Amino acid sequence: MSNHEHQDSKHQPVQRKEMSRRQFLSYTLGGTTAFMVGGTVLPMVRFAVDPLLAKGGESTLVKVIEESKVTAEPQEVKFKVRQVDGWYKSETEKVAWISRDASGAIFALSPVCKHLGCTVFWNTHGRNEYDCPCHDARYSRDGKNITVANLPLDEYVVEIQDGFVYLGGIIANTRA
Amino acid sequence: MKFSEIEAEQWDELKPYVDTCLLPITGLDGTETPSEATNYLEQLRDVMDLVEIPYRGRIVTYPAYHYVYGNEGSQQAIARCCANLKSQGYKYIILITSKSDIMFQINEADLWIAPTEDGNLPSDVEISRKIRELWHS
Repeated sequence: MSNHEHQDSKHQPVQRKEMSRRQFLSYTLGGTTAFMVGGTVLPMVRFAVDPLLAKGGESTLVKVIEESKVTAEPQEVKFKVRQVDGWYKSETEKVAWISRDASGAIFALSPVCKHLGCTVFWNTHGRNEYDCPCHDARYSRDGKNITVANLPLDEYVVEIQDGFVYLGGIIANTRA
Repeated sequence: MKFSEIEAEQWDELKPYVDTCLLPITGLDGTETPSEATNYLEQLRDVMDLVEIPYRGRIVTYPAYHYVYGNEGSQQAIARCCANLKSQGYKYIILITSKSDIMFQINEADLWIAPTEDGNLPSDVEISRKIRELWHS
């Protein structure tokens, strides 16, 4: 290499791939803003959809009575159900009238009158019927509406496990 | 059912079936701390549940009468309220409180549900018996 050539290469401008000051500031400010917005918004979004992300599948059946204690005569059982309404968890007491039919199958009726929502009781007038104290609605042993109400009493989902009766959600009467 | 659950357009249809008014008397006098006021209201709610839930189809719960100052003045005010409620068609007025020291004679009311002298709230069976007796009287 001649001395002349060496000097030429020394004075050539260096081509470096560097970002400009403007680009650097843009990236830095943009990144910082995105981080701060994300840090604020993501927890809010997570909070908003929390009930949707909660694991389901938890059994809603509640153990209420020994199977052997259920007879043809309806008996009142009270049990507590955990209710989750969004973020609000509560425990409410439910009532069921539980008995066996002619074939020995166990069924449970909701005591909520289908007329205006009062609570019915078994056999308060000695007629072997469910009676509503508010407007004298009457229902048969199976919950079939006899007077006043237009619909039969609802039923609870019933399951028998290990000698115990478990009650679940309310369903329309399947017997009347 | 509570007064706030009834829509204006529903009332004409419901009115023939709803003949009993439940008027809660909280019995505060302004000397309560916030937590004491909360306790009184929670106790009142607990005893009201024993009436409102089983008989919701025939009883309307009205807004509570919260403050009571001395028996005489309050007695007159509540009596007037009961008379007005009856004049709009309620056949029975039930007064309910969780405080045992504010139960006074109101001729316009048909039933008082209140704690016993030793401060215990009445049982659901006892309340049911009283309400049924009232309706069959």
